Amino acid sequence: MHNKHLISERRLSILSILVAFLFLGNICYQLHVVPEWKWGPAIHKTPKHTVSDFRSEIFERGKSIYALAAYIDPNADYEPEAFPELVHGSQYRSTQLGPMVSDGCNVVVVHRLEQEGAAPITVIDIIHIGQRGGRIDRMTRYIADGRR
Amino acid sequence: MSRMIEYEWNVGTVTKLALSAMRIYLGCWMIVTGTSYWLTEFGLPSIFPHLVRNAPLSSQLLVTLMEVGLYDVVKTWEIIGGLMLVFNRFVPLGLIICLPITFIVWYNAIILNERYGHLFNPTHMGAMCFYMNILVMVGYARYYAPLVVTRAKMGSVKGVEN
Repeated sequence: MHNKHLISERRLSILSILVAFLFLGNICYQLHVVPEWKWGPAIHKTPKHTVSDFRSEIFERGKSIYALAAYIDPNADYEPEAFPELVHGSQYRSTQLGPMVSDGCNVVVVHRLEQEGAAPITVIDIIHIGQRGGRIDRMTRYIADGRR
Repeated sequence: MSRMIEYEWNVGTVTKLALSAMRIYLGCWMIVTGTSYWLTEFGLPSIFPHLVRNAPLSSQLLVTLMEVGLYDVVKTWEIIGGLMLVFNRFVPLGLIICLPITFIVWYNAIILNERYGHLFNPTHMGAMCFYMNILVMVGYARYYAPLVVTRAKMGSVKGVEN
């Protein structure tokens, strides 16, 4: 023999809203804190957008040191001497020579680097955006030999 | 005066409670993921970062959705569908709205990112949201059953039971 109980619809609704608040709090906590995101400047952006902003910081705003610290993972795989524009006070100008090409997390930029008193060089940068933190974790630079 | 609901503790009641909890949780999850995206669109800090830097195919999917503007649509429907589920209004419709979203989330999380180890991980909402959606739909199967008709006839909504 089962015991029958009564509950008002309003009470049930209030109860479900309270449960919803608990769930909301839990979900926000789980998504915000637990995965230990690295809240870098590249989050919420597509890889292409990230690289575009990275280049703007260096070549338009002249903030090489900021770009280096904010956009590049401290353990990134790249040769610093191949990227002289990331040195503080560098006066490099860059002219993009074609569209920025993006494939998944990889972005390729072909551009001409110029500095007063030095011959311009054409370079091809392959930049990889790392997971979970929105920072560059690999950069490779190839110097084009000028052949067509 | 609020309507009184009679119940007794049996398997049916417990199942309904479990499915209701799933409905609310799924709704809350949809609201959070949708809201988090729109917060950033309005220049506010998000609840969690939206990952577009996963495996290449996943990244392609998300980047394309963003570039063609469909991500905005998806995130808006996430909030609408989530509110329907949480507030227990138009739930069968809300579940239908959420179904393509949860399927793509599942496909992205498991297939495109090759995280097969998470296929039945109860803490991985990337996979669980789709299963929850299906299970709650099963709970409302009587609203979907009339859709499964071999020879459907056109007509007005007159005579359709609520």
